[in-house]
Amino acid sequence: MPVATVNFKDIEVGTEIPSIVKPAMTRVQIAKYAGASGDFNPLHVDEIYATTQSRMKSVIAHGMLSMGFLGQLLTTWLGSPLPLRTLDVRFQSSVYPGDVITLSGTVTSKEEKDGATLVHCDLRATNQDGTVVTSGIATVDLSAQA
Amino acid sequence: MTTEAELVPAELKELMGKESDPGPEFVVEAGHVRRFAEAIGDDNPIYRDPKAAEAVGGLVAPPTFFTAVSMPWFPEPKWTWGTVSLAAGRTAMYNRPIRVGDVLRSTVTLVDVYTRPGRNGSLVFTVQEATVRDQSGEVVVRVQRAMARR
Repeated sequence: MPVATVNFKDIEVGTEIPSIVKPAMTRVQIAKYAGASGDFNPLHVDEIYATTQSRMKSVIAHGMLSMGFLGQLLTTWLGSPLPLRTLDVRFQSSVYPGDVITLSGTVTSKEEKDGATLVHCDLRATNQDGTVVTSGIATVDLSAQA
Repeated sequence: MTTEAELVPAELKELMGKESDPGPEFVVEAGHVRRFAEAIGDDNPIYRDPKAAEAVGGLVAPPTFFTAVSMPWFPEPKWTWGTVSLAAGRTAMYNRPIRVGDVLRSTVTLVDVYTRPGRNGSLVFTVQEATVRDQSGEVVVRVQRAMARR
């Protein structure tokens, strides 16, 4: 259900956010994301351009799609995007068609500040070889659910 | 040795700190939000089912939907350096989620340009920040976009 599933008092430093394993990346998903996001950079949709002009081994998924996956990790945990205050990611390695991305996160600290109950998390999107493709941090405010 | 002055086009340095004119109005449509969630592969019904979304005050967009919103990003400068520009990072600071029915307008400011050594030569980073406002002028989200040129 979309209602909040997480309580500030139940969260401890070290609490793991329930992981999500995404289905293998496909060129179709990249194309759908290009259409939905409006980002038609040829690195993502034109195999010939990507392999010749940019010397990649194939097209790559949008970094923002990996950020979207990390958003999904958080909103699945929290029930909705409403508690999200900050989502800050670094794109560290490319995601190629066929890659299987696992999303995980850990609570690193919690604080009560100005009426807000804030939880800070580390986030990771990792491929099948264990390489972190996108890392990030997030801050969520659980005061509305307190 | 290449110096930072040689790597960073003068037109970028001149843009530093200047705020763009507002971009076009962007109306957040239900079908667009649904397709965006589908492209991520997120089947949370609050992105597509008005009944399920009642619990969160109506249909909302996934947290990264801002990337689909028209933003007047400054275009790539005429680089004399590198062969490819890649997304390096994104930071979103939310006041509230984007909702279906929002009418959004954004402005953009170039906030940082710097160089870093990389595995195969220097990387030039540019960081632009977009401020996304709703129809009443309230800030919905601020987004920093970092690009790396190599």
